[in-house]
Amino acid sequence: MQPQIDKFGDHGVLFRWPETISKEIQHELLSLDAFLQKQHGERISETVIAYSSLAVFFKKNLDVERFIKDFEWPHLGAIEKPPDSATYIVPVCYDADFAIDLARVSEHCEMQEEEVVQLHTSVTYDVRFIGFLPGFPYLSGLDRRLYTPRIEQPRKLIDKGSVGIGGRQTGIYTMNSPGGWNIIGKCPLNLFNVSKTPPALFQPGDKLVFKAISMQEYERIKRLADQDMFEIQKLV
Amino acid sequence: MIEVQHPGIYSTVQDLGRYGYRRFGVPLSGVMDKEMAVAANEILGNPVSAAVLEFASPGPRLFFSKPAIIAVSGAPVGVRINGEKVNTGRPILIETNSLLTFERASSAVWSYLSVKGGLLSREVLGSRSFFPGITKSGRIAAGDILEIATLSELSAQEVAWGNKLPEIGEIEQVAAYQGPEFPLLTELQKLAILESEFEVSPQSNRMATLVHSKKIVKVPEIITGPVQPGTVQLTPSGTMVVLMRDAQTTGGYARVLQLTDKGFIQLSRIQAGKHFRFRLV
Repeated sequence: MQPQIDKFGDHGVLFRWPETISKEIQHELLSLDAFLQKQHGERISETVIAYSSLAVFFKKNLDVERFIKDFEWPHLGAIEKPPDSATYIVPVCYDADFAIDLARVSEHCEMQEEEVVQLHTSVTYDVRFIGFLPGFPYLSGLDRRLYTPRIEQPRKLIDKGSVGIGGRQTGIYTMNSPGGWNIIGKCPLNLFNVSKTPPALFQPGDKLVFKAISMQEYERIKRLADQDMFEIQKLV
Repeated sequence: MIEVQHPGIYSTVQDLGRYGYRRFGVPLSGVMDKEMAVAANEILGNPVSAAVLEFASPGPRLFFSKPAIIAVSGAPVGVRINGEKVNTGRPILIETNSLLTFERASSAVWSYLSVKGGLLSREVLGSRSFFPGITKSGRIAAGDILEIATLSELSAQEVAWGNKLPEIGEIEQVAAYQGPEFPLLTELQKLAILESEFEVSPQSNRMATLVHSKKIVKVPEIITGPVQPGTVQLTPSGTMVVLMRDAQTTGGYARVLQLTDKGFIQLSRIQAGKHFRFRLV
């Protein structure tokens, strides 16, 4: 499907597909992103990916209107599908010390706390894009039985590593931040590190699963991760 | 070097921004008023991308333990060296062991202190711009040391002593393009946005400028999409949020307008409580 293309500020264009969250759109979007980097890389400063749109920001001296007029569409369907990403195993401790809103989620979803954890760890999530905070992965795939509205009064401080559910979404806070999601656990990994290339642990197109771990295991992994000695595991 | 004796409010080190990392969720950052920051660098013969100190009033109190040449631009602030008022508008020579203080700005918002050779704070992901979680600190604090280059006869010759720094005029209009969701508005909603007078809220900062008008326009949220500095978002409650340099890279509010580069600078100069209109280009 050919997306709509519009000027987006003095140095950008915005490619938009219909506003839905679908795998086909994600594939086309990632394909177009790769195509643009390859064909127009020297004119592009950076691109930003979201659910169904792609922003391209050009280096300052480019005439954006001219670019739109002259843009030759690649046949997106013909672009080779990117290879399937590995599925990363993300450890999460759902211990009561961390899971400050687990009771609220369990009550809202009318199930036991154990079932919430079981459902949260039983699906494979797709990383759609990175946004909100540096390295914060927007995930799709949350079981609809776990949809829980955000808390009414957002908290001023949510700890780095906190795993939350906000509406139909789930994710991991990559740094201390205000936030309104229901916190159900904590992940010991560092999802963003300025001394790494790239600085974000996950990329759009990656897949991940959550694995429940004990408090002892959380502390062991956290110690290793903080010394940059923890290698994230993949599903085989 | 410069020792921070008092940080003032909202004082940060900024350059032109952290390009290339927005796809990883890293805000662009960089100076709010590029025109004024660049002017302060150019008059000193610095590269335009040299890091400067950006501050709002009241400004910081800074102790220079080595000589420096500085330029102060942007929101007009009186400058005092060891308590003595000095002329602004041109480069200023600072001698060893001098205390630099600022009076409150009489208009506009952001002032810039450029130092010959630039501020040499650590570069992280290709930029010296402060952002909490990326650089070590989000703002300067009392006791901080800001490293600067050592002045030489040669570097002092690059300074345009005779030139004058530009001044900021009154801003009444802010230039904008239609945003991605503008066509979805009704004709009445479009009129309400383009004809109304907006007031800048005091709850504004480097992330966002909040603006209010008497006519409230309400629109639904969108599926999260890319945003950038200058994106004018309309929240379901009717508050308009204009994203500034430290804004998130994606957002879920309707993007009704997109400021031009010039419009962004215009808005950055409007004080809380002042009024303006958007001008569609």
